[in-house]
Amino acid sequence: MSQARRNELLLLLLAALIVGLGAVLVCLGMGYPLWRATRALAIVGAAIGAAIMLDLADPRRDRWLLPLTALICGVGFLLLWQLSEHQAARQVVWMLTGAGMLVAVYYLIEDVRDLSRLKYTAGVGGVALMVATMVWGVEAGGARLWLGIPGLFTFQPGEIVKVLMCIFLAGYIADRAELLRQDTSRVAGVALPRLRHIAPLLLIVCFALAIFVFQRDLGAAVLFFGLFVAMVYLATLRKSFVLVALLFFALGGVGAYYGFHHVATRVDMWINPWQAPTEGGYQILQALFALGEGGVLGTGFASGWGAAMPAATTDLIFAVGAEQLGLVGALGLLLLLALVAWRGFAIAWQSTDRFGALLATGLATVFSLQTLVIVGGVTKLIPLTGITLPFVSYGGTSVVVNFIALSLLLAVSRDCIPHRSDED
Amino acid sequence: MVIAVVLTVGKYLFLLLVYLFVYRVFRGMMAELTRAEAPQPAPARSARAVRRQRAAAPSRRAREPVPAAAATSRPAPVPAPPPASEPPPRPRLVVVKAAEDNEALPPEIPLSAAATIGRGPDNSITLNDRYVSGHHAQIHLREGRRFLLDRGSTNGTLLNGRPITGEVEIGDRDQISIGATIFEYRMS
Repeated sequence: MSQARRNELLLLLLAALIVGLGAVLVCLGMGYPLWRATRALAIVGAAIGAAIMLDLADPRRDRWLLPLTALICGVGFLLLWQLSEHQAARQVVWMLTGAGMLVAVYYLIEDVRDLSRLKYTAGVGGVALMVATMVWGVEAGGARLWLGIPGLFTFQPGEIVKVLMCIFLAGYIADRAELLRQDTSRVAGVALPRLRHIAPLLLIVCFALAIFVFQRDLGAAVLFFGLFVAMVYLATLRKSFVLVALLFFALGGVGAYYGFHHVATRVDMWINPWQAPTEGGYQILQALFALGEGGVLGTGFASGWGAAMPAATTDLIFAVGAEQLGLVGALGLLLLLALVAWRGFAIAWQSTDRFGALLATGLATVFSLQTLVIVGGVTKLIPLTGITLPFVSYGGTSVVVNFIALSLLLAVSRDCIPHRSDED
Repeated sequence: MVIAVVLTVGKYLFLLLVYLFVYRVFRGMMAELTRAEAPQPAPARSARAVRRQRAAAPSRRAREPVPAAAATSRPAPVPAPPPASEPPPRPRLVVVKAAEDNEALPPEIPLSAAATIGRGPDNSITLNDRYVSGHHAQIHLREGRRFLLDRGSTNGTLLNGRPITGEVEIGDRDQISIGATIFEYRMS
């Protein structure tokens, strides 16, 4: 067996050990019968199974992402398990589905460049989904973010839209990278890509941002904006563009603050949640209490007040983790997530195909921004928004879509340099 | 209480193992990235991958090179010496894509010991392209190897899609982008 494959397998086994240990601790602490600890191993088992199946298709792929994801999923499961057994069980089902989709997408996409042909379909599909959610969406917590038949089957299109937009932006920008980079006009002494190349892109981005803000899905708006800026910068390498974009973001943010009531509430609660400790500020205060309770080394499994927090399994899951595992544990989880993001960017850097590189960058950027925004919000670094922590937060659509994004990253990594020189 | 002790010890062990995992992945990824600086031999590939590569080969010329993401360019892999039965080496630049208004550019430009490229008339290869600087780049021979050098151009010079800084060795089939023109360096 080659070195790389052996490493991956060893890491997966280590992940199994860690998750298994955690599961035993949770059972002991929560009073569950010990045999239930094996449930946690289903996730790592699925990862190992996926690794084997992926190798049958094309062994030239990244070897770090799967073990990292398996461990992150495992830790997420451990946290959910203590908060709500019901949700934890459903999450395992979603993770297994995600692993299946991972393998399926990897097999289906023989060449990542084929995806580039679907860019307009992806873009139109994404916009259509957003409009459909706005019109026919099901309300939950004051925002229409869900689509489907309540009670039967619902999903969050916002998650799918993110990946679709990555594909669209990557495809569109890949085709026009030369034009965007070199065909510039000077606006107020700054060289920017000429309007006619970037106009369709700007239109779609503005439209999407408008929908997100109108839908009160501020996290998604920030995410999408960051994605757009990152990918155009990658194609053009013009820092001037980034500065202009940040300026617009600042202006837009100020405008949103004065224009939209829900934005103002979020920002006010961020600045001083004690103004309304039982209403708007309640969520963030509970998160801060949890962080404080956790201290450096945490309260340990099966303890703490995590279950009492609102949205503990979704928005504030990171606070639950910080409470039980302390600063040390929370940083560990963040490091795992950071390694996934780093790997995504490394794949983009080493890719030999422009579309692949842009797609990997887009996916890695979305992943990083998502993590930063929710962790930043939970720790009161920035206003709290309702987006999911990838692979950890409870949410079927989020988990499955993130697995699909992972599959795309693995597909892009097939065309990377250096090629592994020790494949079997 | 025994369980309390077990939980506490278990917690420390859990955290320790997580950091061990992080450390192993980090070390492995760093090692891989530094190994990436040296050229790797081509691997044996699965049948599927070989089929895919063959299907992609005809479109390789039309495929755009990688976006200009890296700050430094990676030196091109050292090309294999031409076999003895092949015709003698004719180092030249093949024009893969000529910019507009450059129809007079010959499809192949033989290379001597030094060739300068730019918009000015004093260059050995003159490009009529406003994205090209007066003295944009040069390709020179040293110790039997050819090097590409950017002469401080405004828009930069790309080697296989990555902008170069300073002097970089070029090898057979490397693609050089100057302004809107793409050359391919051929050794024979």
